[in-house]
Amino acid sequence: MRSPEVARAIPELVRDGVLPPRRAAPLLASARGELVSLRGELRALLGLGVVLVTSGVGLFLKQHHEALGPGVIALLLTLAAAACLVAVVRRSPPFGWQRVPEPDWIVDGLLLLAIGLLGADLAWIEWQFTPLGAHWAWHLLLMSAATAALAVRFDSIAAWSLALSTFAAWRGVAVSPTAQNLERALFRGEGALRWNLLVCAAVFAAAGWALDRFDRKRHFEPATTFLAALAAGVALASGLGEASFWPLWAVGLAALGFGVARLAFARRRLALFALGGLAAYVGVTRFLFEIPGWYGLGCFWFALTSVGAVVLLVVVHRRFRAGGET
Amino acid sequence: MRPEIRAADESWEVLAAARAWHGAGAIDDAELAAIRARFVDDRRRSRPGFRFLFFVFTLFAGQAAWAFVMTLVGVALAGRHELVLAGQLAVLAAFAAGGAEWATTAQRLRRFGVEEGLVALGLGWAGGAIVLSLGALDLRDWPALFLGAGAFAVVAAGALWRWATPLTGLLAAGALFAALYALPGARWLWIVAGAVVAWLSWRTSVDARVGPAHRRRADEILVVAVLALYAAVHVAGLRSDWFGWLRRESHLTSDVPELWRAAAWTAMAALAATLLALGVARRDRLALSLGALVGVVTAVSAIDALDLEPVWLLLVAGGLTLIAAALVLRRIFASRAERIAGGFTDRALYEADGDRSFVELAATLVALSPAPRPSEPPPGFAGEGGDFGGGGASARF
Repeated sequence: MRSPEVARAIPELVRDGVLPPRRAAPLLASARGELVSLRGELRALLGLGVVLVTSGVGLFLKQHHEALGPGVIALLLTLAAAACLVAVVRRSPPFGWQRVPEPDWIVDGLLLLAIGLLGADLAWIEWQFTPLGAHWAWHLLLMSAATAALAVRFDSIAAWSLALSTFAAWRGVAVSPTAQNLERALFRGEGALRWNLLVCAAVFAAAGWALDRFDRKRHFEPATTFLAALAAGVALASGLGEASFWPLWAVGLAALGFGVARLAFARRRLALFALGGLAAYVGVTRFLFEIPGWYGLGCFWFALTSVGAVVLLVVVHRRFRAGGET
Repeated sequence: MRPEIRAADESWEVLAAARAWHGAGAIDDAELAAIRARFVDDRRRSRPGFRFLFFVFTLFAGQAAWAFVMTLVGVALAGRHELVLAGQLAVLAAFAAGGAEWATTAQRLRRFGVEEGLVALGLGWAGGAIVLSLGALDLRDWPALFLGAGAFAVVAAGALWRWATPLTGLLAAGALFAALYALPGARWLWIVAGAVVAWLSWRTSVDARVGPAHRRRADEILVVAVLALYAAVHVAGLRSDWFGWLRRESHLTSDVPELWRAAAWTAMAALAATLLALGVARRDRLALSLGALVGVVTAVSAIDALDLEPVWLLLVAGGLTLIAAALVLRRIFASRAERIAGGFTDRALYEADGDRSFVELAATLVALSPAPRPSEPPPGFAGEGGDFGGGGASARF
């Protein structure tokens, strides 16, 4: 990263014997801006391309499925997905249960394209030839399993997260935070959706535990546990608007929040800690709205608890500084 | 900005780079410890996630405290109390500014979140005071926008100069262009000011004599200036008369002379080309990103103007072009020694990518997650097959 301060400091560090000249040379080139990494920009370019292609393919299938015939389209999609997978296989290192060091940046993008095409292919086959009949939604579970297998084989956290979101889709849960999805999850209070969210949370939590316990792709575990906590939190929060049973859901949400925050604190995971803290805060605050004249008290409560949260965060921050965080 | 804060920022730059080198395995523990002993940062700083939480809770606490005081005092937003409220907000803004100064000097907070929250509160309250004052003075339309945005630009520029907290550059530059929008000949003012401010901010952002925080804010100003300049020369702005609405001078005409349209297209393309050329020549990632953004928007505008169809083909062709570009660039880098071409590389270069990974993951989930199956089957459902893609398939399929 270009930095005049670092560029000034490196020669001093070399002169004082802190850095050997040979090792300092590339660091100095980077600090002076003589060598710049475009890795992030190239990944973004590839990711945008993948999104455009999958969207275009989806639109094409919707508009022109009659022109080519279902068999030809299924064949084309299969060939395209297979071509992408072959490209991924050629560029990926051998399989291992641990994190792959220095993976090729292009593998993730091509793998996501292959998964996108494969998903479209499966959905197309299911739609046109109805092999699953009334149980058509099971193709999402099949796709989730296939995506998970590919994620493990090619060590892709992005694909693993996609496998989890596809599982959630099978249970009728949307991951995209659109206004419609949020309204459905949080305010409409659909009982079936709530229980499906809890099922997702349980499955994700079990998967996270297994990854950690058996030391298989352990670096997938933080994202898995986070999604489990998120699903459980949304499920419990969706009950806060109920007329009669809201205290049950509020207590559950607060308990979940405290539990997650405690786990995150022990493992020094900031994002998970923030999620747990937020869940506990919302669960406790829900009781405030039942107090007559809560508006004036509410401002006092929010002001006081926000200051309290800042103080608590200072304490937690000091603790986190002692070790690494994820 | 106080000299000791700037000195601490400079030390922090070196320490952050050393941590990144250590993370990438370029230096060992002993070398990192030696650098830490040499460059002392006496400020209290928090890690990115904590910084965000501190910022949010400070904002929340400030707003809730204000609402609590308002409730106790009994002054509501309704009625003719604008000037009283404006005065209260101005006092609160002054308190927040004092708090930010106390936090940065006495408490030595820097990039901590709390002092940044106090600056944001101060700016928000100052903005509220300005808006209410203009309302009390019965100012409307372009004079209100010019005076209000101009006053806010001055306040934000003051915060930028004193603390240089994130987004102050963006706010100051945005308010400046909003003020210019209210004046006659706004388009030409945006073109001239956009070009001048972009040039000055770019020079500042690469000037080694400027402190790190002010260089970052210059980047923010550069982004606003380039986008303002692009909006001013955009052909759609000519057709729809974007700059005539406020002063009631708009004819909402689409009858733009051919020469003007040609000039607009040329300017749009030239701006993208200039930014890309500047980015490559100076190895400037921000200029490259802005150039790519302006180029993509220009291409999309051209497709819209030419009324090209079908959309699915454009999407697939555009996507394949981007993927091909990434593959070609990767091949070029792979063919060169140490994967370096023209001062660029596709290797990760001593940069912590934790935050970026999180953003990438979230973007992947939002963009590629399949639509969920309906919670209940529609009446008369007979198992005709689903119309939802699996993992990674577009939700619009």
